[in-house]
Parts: sequence; structure tokens; C-alpha cells
Amino acid sequence: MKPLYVRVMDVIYYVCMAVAGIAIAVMAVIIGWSVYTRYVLTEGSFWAEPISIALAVQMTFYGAAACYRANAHISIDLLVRGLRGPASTLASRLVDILMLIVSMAMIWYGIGLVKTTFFQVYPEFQHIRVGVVYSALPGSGLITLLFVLERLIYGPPDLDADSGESTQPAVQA
Amino acid sequence: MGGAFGPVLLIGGLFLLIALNVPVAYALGLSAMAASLYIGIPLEAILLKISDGVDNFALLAIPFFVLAGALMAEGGIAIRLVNFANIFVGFIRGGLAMVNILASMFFGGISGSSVADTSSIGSILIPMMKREGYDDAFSVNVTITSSTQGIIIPPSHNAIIYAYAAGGTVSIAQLFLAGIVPGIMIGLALMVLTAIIASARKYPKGELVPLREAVRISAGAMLGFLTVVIIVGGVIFGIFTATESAAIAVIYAFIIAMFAYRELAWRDLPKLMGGVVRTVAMVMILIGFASAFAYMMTLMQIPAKVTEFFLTLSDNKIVILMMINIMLLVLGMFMDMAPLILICTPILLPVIKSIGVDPVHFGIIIMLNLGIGLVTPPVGTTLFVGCAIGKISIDQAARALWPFWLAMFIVLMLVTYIEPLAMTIPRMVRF
Repeated sequence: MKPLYVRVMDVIYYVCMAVAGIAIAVMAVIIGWSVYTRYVLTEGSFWAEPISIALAVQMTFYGAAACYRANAHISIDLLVRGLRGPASTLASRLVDILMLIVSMAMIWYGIGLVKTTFFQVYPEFQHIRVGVVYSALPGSGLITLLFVLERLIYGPPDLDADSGESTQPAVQA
Repeated sequence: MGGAFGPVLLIGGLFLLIALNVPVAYALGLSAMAASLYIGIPLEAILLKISDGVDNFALLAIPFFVLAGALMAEGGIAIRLVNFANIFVGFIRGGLAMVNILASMFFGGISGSSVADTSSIGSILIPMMKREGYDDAFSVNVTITSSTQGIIIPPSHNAIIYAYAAGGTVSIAQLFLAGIVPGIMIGLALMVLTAIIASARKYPKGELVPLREAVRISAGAMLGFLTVVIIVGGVIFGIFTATESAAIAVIYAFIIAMFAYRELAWRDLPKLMGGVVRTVAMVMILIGFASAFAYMMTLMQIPAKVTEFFLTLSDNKIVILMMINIMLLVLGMFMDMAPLILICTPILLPVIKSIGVDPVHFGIIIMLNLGIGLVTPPVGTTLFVGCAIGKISIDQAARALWPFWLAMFIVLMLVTYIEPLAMTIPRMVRF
């Protein structure tokens, strides 16, 4: 049985994936609706753009944290691939430490950004606070940090085992 | 700003982090943060640039293109396009290879992705080609090189990334139009090469599809083709923005896949969305961190210094374009397309403007060039996917790749130096 920490990370991972997936689907519907209102009902939906942007920010940052756990970010292992034994371990620990640093910077300075923009609103739709939208930045940093700690303590997660998902990098282009 | 060490820290730091196997997106962020600390820019400003990078309505076209492509690929369009292509070229010698190239041309117009094309068309055609006696490496190489048409033929989400990296000064509609001829040229060049190889190796011919059957197959494929009409037609004729047309395409593709082709079930959606999220979030966070990186480059006047450097080497347009092409081909061997577009465009755009190259034309050159990188070892995502499907080693594919690589390189040279090939259609269709 997986350790409790890993099981909690599994839940967080699937929540991040669900948030990002639902955000994409909702954005498509909202923007489709705004086109319908513009051409068929002949009135624009002023709220469609700010809400979609707010969702896109959540999708990007929470999705990126999930991508880290799924090993889906583009990286180049050409130089470290040939390393063996302690050198290989040292190189991967170094990457983990660098990821910890960038995650902590996202949390610390992200909170600063949220505080600065908390009372700002989108001009087209004043019910959304910019600071709330940007809270995804420290949120993503925190989740990435938890995933990095998981990797440091328990090694790379085995997502294949319970979901049939690939842990190979997702590729685009 | 930052003296001589600032740019070294930014650019050198990036390459060092990438070499260490830090994800490229986070390597961009870390090097931008390190450089900002060095020159005394508050880190909040860097974080704001990262957020600003994704806080952009035009970029929402990217998730929608990827989702529409995934819906069409999983929803039964790939096999219909293969059958449709078979009507036109299946009966000639090396017919299956020709079908592969033509189907990629059609599919590229729908998915806009070389990897999606390789996995969809390749999964169908590589095993068929092997069964018919085609050489394993040939089957894989035809698939991966023809899939690069998807990057150039509109719609292409890489065109959106380029337009963004160019600071929003390049029209997405113009980029779409400029990609048509170069995309078709890749297909034609590969078809000529395939005809020569097929004739030399006596690869089999297919059978002519009867007219009644051809009409039935065409009707089935047309529903899928309408996705292209929605996206490209909507953008070019100014009916929708790129983001709006892509969102409409998602809704349309969903309806076609679920209710017309009926090859996608509700239970398939979580897995499909998982793949889409992994691709989209990876690209979008890359864009966010690349925005911060580009901001630091601008503060340190790196694009201006690079322009100055190129112009000290030569002021000849042909020479500078060749140097840029060689540089991109080498970089493309090691890094993926999206990060290279995001890193190189802000640096190279002032250079190419200073020698009088249209940024739309340059967009096609950079996409074509980096498309070649996707199939070139040692690091080529499309090559890796193709080899995995074809069950052959990278070495096996790479050894037989050179004629295909040469054909694509010739197209790159033609598109680079004969500007009207890319620019005639955009100039004709200005709204």
C-alpha cells in the first residue's frame, strides 16, 4: 500500500487535473456562447473574456503543477542520461533542489503579488478580483513544492499503476 | 543594464539549467529570477510578467486547438482521412506511403500538431505499411517527416505561439495563409522522394477505389474537414478571432465525434482531457515563464546586441538568413519547438526586420526549420513517437532519415529565399 503522503499527493494531482480539464471545457463553452450572443442575439457577452482569462490562469498554474508530477514538462536529459551511480543521483537531487527554489519563490513572491492586486478588478467584469485569480501562482508553487518533496522522499510517483496514465513527457509541437 | 555578466547569467544560466535536465519552463523562470536579483529588479515584477504571460485572451486559442485536434483524432477522423487519401494516391506504386503523406496533409489541417499526427496516422498506417512489405525505417520516416506538414498548414497552434512571441505585431490570419504553400510543398517533396524510393524498391501498388465507394468515403471525411473551414475560414474572413473560432471548433468536433461518428464515448473523455491538460498546461506555463525571460532580455538589450552582432558579421540578407537557419537547425536538434519559438523570436525578430524580411515570412521559416528539428536526433519528439509506434530504435530510423531530411531542407531553402512562395497568398488576401 502506498504511504499516506503519496496517497494525499495522488488526490491533489487528480484535483489539479480535474480543475484544469474542467477549466478548458468551460472556457470553450463560454466563448462559444459569447459568439452565439454576438451573432444571434446581437448583444455581446462582456463577461466571457475576463472569466475565460481567469479560468485560463487556473488551468495553466494548477495544470503545470500536475504536469511536474506526471513528468510531462519538456526537459532535455541528453547530458545527464549517461551519468551512472552517485553522479546520476547527485544530478537529479540538484534538479529537485532547483525546483524547490523556484516553487518557494512562486509561493513567497506570488503571495506578494496577490496582496498587491487583491483589490484590483477586471474593468469588463468587476466581480472578479485580480488578486484572487493570481492566487493560482502561489497555489501552484505550494503544490509543486509538495510534489518535489514527494519525489525527494519517495522517488518518482507511479501514476501508471492506478490510472493507466503515462508518466512519459506529454509532447506537443 | 546588468553589464556584461547580466546577459551571461541569463542566457548561460538558462543553458546550464536545461543541460542539468531542469524542465525548460522552470529553467526559463529560474534564470530570469537570478538575472533580476543580479540587476536589482524586484522578483514581484518577474512574477507579474509570468502571470501577464498567460493572462492573454489570444492565447486561449492554444488549448482549444489542442482539444479540437484530440477530439478529432480520438473521434474517428484519422481513419476517415486515411481512407479519403487512399482514393487519390492509394493505387500508385508506394501507394500506402503516399496515402500516409496525403492523410498527414489533411490531418495537419485539423490537428495542427506533428506529434498528434504521427500518433494518429502512424498508428494506423505504420503497421499496415510493414505488413505490405515496406521497410520499417522507411515507414517510420515517411510518417514523421510528413507529420511536420501539420505545423505549417493552418491552423497551427505554433503560429499562435509565434504571433505572441513577436509581441502581437504579427497577424495570425496572415500566418495561417502564409503556411499553405510551404506546407503543401513539404508534402509534394516527400511524395516525389517516396515515388523514387518506391520504384527502386518495388513497393506494392494499391487498388483503385470504385466511384460509389469513393463518394461514400468522401462524404464521411467532409464532416471532419469542416473543422478546418470553421477555424481557418473564421479567422481569415474576420468572422471570429482565432480564440473564438478555436472554441467553436471544439464544440463542433465534440458533436461530430460523439454524435455523428460515434467513436468517442463519455467514459473516454477523462483520459482524453488528461492528455490535453498535460500538453496545454506544459505549453502555457512555458509561455508564462518565457514572458519573464523575454522581459529580462529586453531590459538587458540582448535583442539589440544580437542584431548588432549579426550585422557586424554581414549585412547581406542571404548570408544572415543562412546563419539564422543553421543556428535554428542546430538548436532544433536539442530542444523542442515551442520553447525555441518563445526564446528565439524576440531575439531574432529585430535582426530579420533590420534586413527587410517580413515577420510573417520569418514565422514560416522558423516553424519549418524547427519542424525539421522535431524529426532530427538526438532530441526529436516526433521522431521518438514515430519510433515507438514503429517499434524500431532511434538509430535505425536515423540512419535511413537523410533523404527525407534533405527533401525538407530543400523546401526550407526554397521557402527562405523565394519569398513569394510563402507571401503571395497573404498579400493577395488582405482584409
